[in-house]
Amino acid sequence: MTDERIDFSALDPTAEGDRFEEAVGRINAAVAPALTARRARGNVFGQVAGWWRPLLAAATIAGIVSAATLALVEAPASQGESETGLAEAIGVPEQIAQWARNDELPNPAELLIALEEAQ
Amino acid sequence: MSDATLVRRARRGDAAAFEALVRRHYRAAYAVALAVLGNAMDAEDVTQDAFVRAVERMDEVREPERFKGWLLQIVRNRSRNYLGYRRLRTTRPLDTVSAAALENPGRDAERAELQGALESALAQLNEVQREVVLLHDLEGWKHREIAEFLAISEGMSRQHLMTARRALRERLGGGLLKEYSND
Repeated sequence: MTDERIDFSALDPTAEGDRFEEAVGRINAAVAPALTARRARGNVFGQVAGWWRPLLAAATIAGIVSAATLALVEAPASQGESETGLAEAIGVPEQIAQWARNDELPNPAELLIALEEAQ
Repeated sequence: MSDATLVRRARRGDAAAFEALVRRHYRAAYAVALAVLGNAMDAEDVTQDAFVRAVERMDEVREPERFKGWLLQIVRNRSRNYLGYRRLRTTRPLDTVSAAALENPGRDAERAELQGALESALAQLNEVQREVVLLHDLEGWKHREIAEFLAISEGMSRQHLMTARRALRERLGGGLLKEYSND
């Protein structure tokens, strides 16, 4: 079956080469600022993305080194020694500190004796 | 290179990629604008404006491989907005407008005359008929593509094409018609 296609070549915007190139040129000029902005935005994201990973890696390494250093420094001192040292530093008698650590409740007489011995 | 690749590159600001999209889809965009507006000069302006809008909204393209359909919806919306604006600004009836003849005195007179005759004849059709006949006969779309774009059935697309061609033939006579195989 054949049918008559309408010849719209007179309306074809691409048929006249120069005119079409002018139209494309006008569009290119009009979109240039938006495309430039897109490139710039891409560069900013790219730079951030580029710096983000090394920064994250450096922070991770620093965290690991700090944790390891703290562990090494604290390890020699036992828990009991450090608590005794603190009690002495703030002037709490050794016997009373001992009761507190062991969660013991002294009777009044024992408490008085401990305080007198401390003085 | 596929539309999807060009869209992804254009999103990153690749001017050459966007120009390739312009060259590839300019005529289809123009056909839709012309179908809505019925005037070649206005259609050209709106087509160019639509491409600028497309760059601004490029991140909204959800399916880059379907860029053409997305672009043509922009063209159609911009054309309708422009049509509303034009109706407020002018009282010239559509079928008396022959932009090519009036605004381009330096252009080839015969071509301008043909263009004016076609514009006047197209003005006798409704918008859907114009879209169907221009997308089919100017842009070379198949009825399947036209039906999808216009959200109509393929049968309806064929019906609109037949009606439009008949009306145009009556208006234009045989001088502007060519014989082609039907798809």
